[in-house]
Amino acid sequence: MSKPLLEVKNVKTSFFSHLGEIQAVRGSSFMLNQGDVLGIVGESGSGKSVTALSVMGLIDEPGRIKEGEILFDGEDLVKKSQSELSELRGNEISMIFQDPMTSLNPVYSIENQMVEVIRRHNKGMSKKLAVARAVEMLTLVGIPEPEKRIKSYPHEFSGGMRQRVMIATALSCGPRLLIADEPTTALDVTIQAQILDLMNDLKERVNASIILITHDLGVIAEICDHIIVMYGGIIMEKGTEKDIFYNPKNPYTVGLHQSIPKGDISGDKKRLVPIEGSPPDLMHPPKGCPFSPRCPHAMKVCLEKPAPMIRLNETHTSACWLLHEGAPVVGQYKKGGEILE
Amino acid sequence: MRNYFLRRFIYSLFTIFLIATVTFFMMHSIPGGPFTRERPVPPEIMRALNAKYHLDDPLIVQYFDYLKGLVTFDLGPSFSKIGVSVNKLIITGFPITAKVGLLAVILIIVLGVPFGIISALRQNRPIDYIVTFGATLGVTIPSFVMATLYIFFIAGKLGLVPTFGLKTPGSYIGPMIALSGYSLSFVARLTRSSMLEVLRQDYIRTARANGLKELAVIGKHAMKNALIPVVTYLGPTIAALMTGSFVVERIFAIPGIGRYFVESVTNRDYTVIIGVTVLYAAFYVFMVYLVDVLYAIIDPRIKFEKEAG
Repeated sequence: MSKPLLEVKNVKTSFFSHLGEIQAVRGSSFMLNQGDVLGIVGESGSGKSVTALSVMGLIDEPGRIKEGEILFDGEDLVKKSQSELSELRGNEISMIFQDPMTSLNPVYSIENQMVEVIRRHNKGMSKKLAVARAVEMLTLVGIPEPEKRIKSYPHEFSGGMRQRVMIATALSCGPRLLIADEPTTALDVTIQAQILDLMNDLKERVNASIILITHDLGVIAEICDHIIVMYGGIIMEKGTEKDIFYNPKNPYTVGLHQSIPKGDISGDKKRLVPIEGSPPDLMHPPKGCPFSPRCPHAMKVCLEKPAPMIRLNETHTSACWLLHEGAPVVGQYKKGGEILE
Repeated sequence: MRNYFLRRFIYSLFTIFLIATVTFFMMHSIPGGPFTRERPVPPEIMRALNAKYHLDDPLIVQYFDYLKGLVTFDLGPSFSKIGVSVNKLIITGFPITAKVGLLAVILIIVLGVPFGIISALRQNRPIDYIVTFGATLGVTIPSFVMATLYIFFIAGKLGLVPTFGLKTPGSYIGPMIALSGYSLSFVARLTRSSMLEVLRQDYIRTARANGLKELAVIGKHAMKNALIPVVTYLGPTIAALMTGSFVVERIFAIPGIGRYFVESVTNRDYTVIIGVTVLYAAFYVFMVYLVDVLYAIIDPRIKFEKEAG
């Protein structure tokens, strides 16, 4: 097996506020191979964005990565200085964000902002070449009349177009990894579909690995090879798209599925089942499984001890006590599998 | 774009005209005149004086005479300083005032903006506390207190600079500090808060995520946005400083224009009052105009809105 492009090993990231330590990510491990698309799902505060920002080295004060390793192409990013990281950012690893309306600098033209990034990572490239490169990228993401539109300012673009510009900029230096943090959340539904189509299309063409972060399972199904479900700062379940969608082995993943409206034209009305309660307070994270206070199957042990990560097959792992030898049989949660930790 | 600036320019001229008109009629509506004294002046002399300066003409005629002068930049003779024209007063006094004011403005920009930025970048660290404390002092201590303390200690006790006048380069320091103290502190605070606000914006995170160097993130992406409110404040402030402060000129015995202005009010020296008022107003209006032009250069969104509207 070839070396993975990205390997995140037991990363813990906390924010040290005046009130105390907020443990946003409490041990996240996963890896990503060259060319793969990884989805990270979870609700607000599950630690998915902080995981991504940790990889980027963009954790702002008062936060920091407490422990763990982030190996990108074999090199530990946690140990790198900000200036070393800035050489990688936008070049080897790019990131696009949730709100395209505010993610571009309003006082500089698109050309100015794109050319700046291209020339930052291509030392000595002439301005003319950089502009040509920017225009090429804008064409790639489907901006009409790119030679003309590149002179525009961000406020002259719609939200969807701005996100295209963000993607074009992020890909302009040919990164090997693109992290997209809720890239469609702030957009209209029709535009969402367009942006997802675009990303789906680009993943073939630019041959970058992608980490797609979202709270919307529907978004992820279409393009991801692997999916990670996060909750309360830890990974609850990990698997291929098939594992997570058709064979979920964690009550939280199941809860997420049940709370998605199924567009059923037959008129077959089914009530949505919400997950009762709210996510844990990460300043005082629960002793046991973070989902246990909301879990319909919670047992005594769930409240007491963190669930072990259990390997179900080659690709599929889940952190749940129900899968442990000693647990009673409940629904689909068939016992068995190798206990990893 | 050009239309907008032209339109704004015409508005500015109109504003100055209005100010001249209002000042003219207000001054003339106050009882008494330039030649009224405590001991009554003999009526013949009064008549002769009034006739000499055309003060016996109907007010409306005087008004149009005055406007005629204004358009040709002839502000008329001073009533209290015999044989001296208002133009002459302005030409001798204003350059001195403007020079001190300009130095104060430079001090504000050169110190206020960088202090604000450093303070924002080192938020809640010792340097930030020092700057914030200093800026609060600067805003609260009145200029005359600062000037008096300066003269007492620096000029008097230590004898480092002359106590009054502008004879040596060193004697500019005191007036500069006293004049700029408030605005310098204010600009530092404004830059700090504006910078802190901008640093939280998404596009700053984008700039970092794109791997830009910290110098470019701050110096290019944050700076231009953070300076918009500072420019707004600086426009009128520059006008105010360049036209001087009577108090500071008085304390440091600077032969600027401020003194004439205050004297002219007590003397009902109509032409000096209106002349200086119009000069101040024109300067102010020009600075506001300049700020608007700068806005359009700094922030492309403003250009767009004004053109459309």
